[in-house]
Amino acid sequence: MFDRHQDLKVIKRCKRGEEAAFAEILQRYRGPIYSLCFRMTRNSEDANDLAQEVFIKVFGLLDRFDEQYAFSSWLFRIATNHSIDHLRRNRLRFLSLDGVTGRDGEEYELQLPHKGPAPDTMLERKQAIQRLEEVIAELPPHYKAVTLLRHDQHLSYEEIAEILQLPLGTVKARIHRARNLIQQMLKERAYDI
Amino acid sequence: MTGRKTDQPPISCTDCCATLQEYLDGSLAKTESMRVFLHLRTCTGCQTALEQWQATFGLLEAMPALGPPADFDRRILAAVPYESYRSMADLRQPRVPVILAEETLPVWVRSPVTRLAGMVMAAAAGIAMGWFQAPPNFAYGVVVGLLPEAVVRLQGMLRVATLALRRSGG
Ligand SMILES: [Zn+2]
Repeated sequence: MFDRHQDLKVIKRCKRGEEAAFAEILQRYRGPIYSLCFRMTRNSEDANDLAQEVFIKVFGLLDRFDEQYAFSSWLFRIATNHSIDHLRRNRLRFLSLDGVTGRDGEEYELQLPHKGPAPDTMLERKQAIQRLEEVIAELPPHYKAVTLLRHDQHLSYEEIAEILQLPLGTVKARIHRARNLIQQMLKERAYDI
Repeated sequence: MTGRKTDQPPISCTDCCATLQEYLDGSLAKTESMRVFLHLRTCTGCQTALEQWQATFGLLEAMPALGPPADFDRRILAAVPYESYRSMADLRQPRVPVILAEETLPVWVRSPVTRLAGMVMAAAAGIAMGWFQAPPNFAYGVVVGLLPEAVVRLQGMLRVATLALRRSGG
């Protein structure tokens, strides 16, 4: 998904203190990391803080980055752990969140492609995606993380295993279980309407 | 394909439903995938389950991309310790053993004046021996005269070789 060798070249430039190299890393990863933090927390302010803290931490620790591993895996590991820690610290706030809008009451915009289904089915589709986002938000943190790495970041099972430092089998089982939960919750919600 | 059908025992509905996720995301082994495929052709119950999974996967893939606010980078770039990276970059340069460092040789040995004077002396001693039948101990003059240039060049070659070796080693 992310070009490991290209990253390594830029990291070497970062280690020489080249300002443009840090901007390049941000250009490549700010979207994915923010997206992960947002969907982990469902709060744009928290996501912004978390994602910024992740980059600040990573940029301050580049000397300790082991070049044997993919930089993207290291970055996603720090972002995942940071988000999970945040959820644990804020368990009460997390449980009280209302679904459709973030906790700060700010509704986020779904960017649907221009070409697509007719308006009424498009609305249905939009509602279905919103239900999915709510369902993902309610997953336990570890299930949420694997789901997002797989389906939001489109990473392979192997990459996710490297990120979470877990055996491949564990990752596969966890994603399987997470999707079972998602489908079960989606079905329950469909009956509610 | 039909041969494989008889190789593998047919799959049960429970097992089929339990592997539909993997069947859809392509992580199932080929033979297993074939068994699921064959079962789905004849079982409407599992076909319905497959359609449900297809819908769920369709939604998962349709989650829109999100982006951070416009001023996202500013706080991060302001916090990068550029100066310490720049100063550490010099320390990170590959190093050579002290014996190969240019500064190890005394200045008077490696100065161009000494090296040139040494070569002139060596040439003079050589000419004296070759043309004017100077005594054999003039050979010391040749050796001593060439010494500064030889030492500087040898050290230089070894330094370049060591650095190349260390750079290629990471
Ligand atoms: Zn069946």
